[in-house]
Amino acid sequence: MKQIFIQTEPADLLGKAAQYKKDGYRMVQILCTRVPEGYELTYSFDKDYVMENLRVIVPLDGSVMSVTSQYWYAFVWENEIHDLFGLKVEFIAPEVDYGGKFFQLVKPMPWHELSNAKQPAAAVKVNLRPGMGVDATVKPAAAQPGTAAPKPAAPAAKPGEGGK
Amino acid sequence: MGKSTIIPFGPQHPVLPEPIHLDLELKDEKVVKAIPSIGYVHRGLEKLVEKRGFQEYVYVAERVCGICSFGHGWGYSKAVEGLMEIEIPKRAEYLRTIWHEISRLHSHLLWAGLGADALGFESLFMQCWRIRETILDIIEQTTGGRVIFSVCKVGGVRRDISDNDLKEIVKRIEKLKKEIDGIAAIFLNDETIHSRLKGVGVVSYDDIVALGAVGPTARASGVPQDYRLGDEGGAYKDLGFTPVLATEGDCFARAKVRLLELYQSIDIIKGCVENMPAGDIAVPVKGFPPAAEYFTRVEQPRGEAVYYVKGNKTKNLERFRLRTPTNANIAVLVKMLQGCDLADVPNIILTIDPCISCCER
Repeated sequence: MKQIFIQTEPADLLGKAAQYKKDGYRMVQILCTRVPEGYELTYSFDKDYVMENLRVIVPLDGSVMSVTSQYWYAFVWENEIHDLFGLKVEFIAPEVDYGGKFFQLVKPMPWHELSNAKQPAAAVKVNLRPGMGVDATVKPAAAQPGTAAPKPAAPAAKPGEGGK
Repeated sequence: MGKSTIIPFGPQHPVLPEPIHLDLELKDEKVVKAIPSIGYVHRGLEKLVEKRGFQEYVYVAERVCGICSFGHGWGYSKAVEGLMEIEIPKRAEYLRTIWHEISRLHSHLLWAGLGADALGFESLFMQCWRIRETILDIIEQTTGGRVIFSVCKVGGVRRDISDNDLKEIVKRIEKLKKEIDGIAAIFLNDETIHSRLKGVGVVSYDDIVALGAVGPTARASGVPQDYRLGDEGGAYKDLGFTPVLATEGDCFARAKVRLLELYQSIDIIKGCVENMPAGDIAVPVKGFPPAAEYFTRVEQPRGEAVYYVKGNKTKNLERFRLRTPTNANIAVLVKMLQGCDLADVPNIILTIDPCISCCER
């Protein structure tokens, strides 16, 4: 599959999206990646099964204009990017700007932090019953009055054991 | 016209197999506006790519969803193969196509059962799922699993299917055709189903184009949008492919397209078996993905899914992104619900065949 990436300034984004719409392209998706410079946004457009991607870098304290004026259905991805990454998307069509309530998440903006993919893969903290999981640690429970003392817990797996 | 009322619909609702919440703003019995919110099954699986080796992550990708699991494994593997410029053997492409179309049969039959149940046809629901059991048996026979296949890997597939088993599969799905005729006859001819689905949730061709819908939802409005037409992977190019279309754009048309796609998938599987190339099923994968990025797509049972991978010369990918068909169909769902009767909301939601686990990842 041919890969086409076109670097674009944030100020030119809306004009280019309008041109894609005029040329009969379908918007396929918006991808957001946290990069050291801020947010890397990729807007994908498809025509006849060939995809072109506009690439925009937005600084960490910056914002990006919504493309819902051209592709109304982009509100799904724009709301998602706002809720998961914390990037402010300006002027989403008012009827579909959910103001941070699209994704019901316990932790707000869970993907705002920069990826640490270049670090060696660490064991995943698994919050399961004591003794289970690749790096589960077990604290002996305090003995209750009138009950037998708890049995010693099984040792936790050493890093690199039992997990990928 | 009475005053407007907000009715919460979901996340737990009898017609919803997975949780999505909609705030339905009603005036009398008419929906004026639908506000969706998701995230109840958000697991952060895209983020997990940073902590799993690129070959291991196939298993995670498959677990994005239990219905289209094979397609996700295929899409991810295809993306990494594109990134690493790996060409897989032709036999692996054909085997992937067979499993993917078996997956489509399983998904559409599951949907048909859920649709029948929502319409009050409990016996039909049972029949649809009984037929689906044969498909699950084939999956078990060829992969060892019934839901998660785990046969796709970067570089090809893990298992081969012997020629005898392939012939056996063709015999079994041929028999299924007659059984599918039985359920299709009820769906397509029953008066009650007509009155519940015809003329409900209508979306025109132009609206589908304007709303970027994908899959059977788009094809039921006459839009020939099916990535199998442009897919360079799989066997679709060799076998030739024409998408199933309808023009009415209502709930009934969406049901009809899925039912007709069952026959199409059977024909594709037969075509793959008849033209199955001999040879290897995988190539060795050496090294780590380069510092580059790659987009690819797969036509899942619910429509086009987009897979993106970004490498950084380590064993972990830096980014994996999956835009699922339900994610693309939320906009059309929001539009379809505007102006419909409250009683039609479940049918409209069901006929886009939402997969919320996929949607949230």
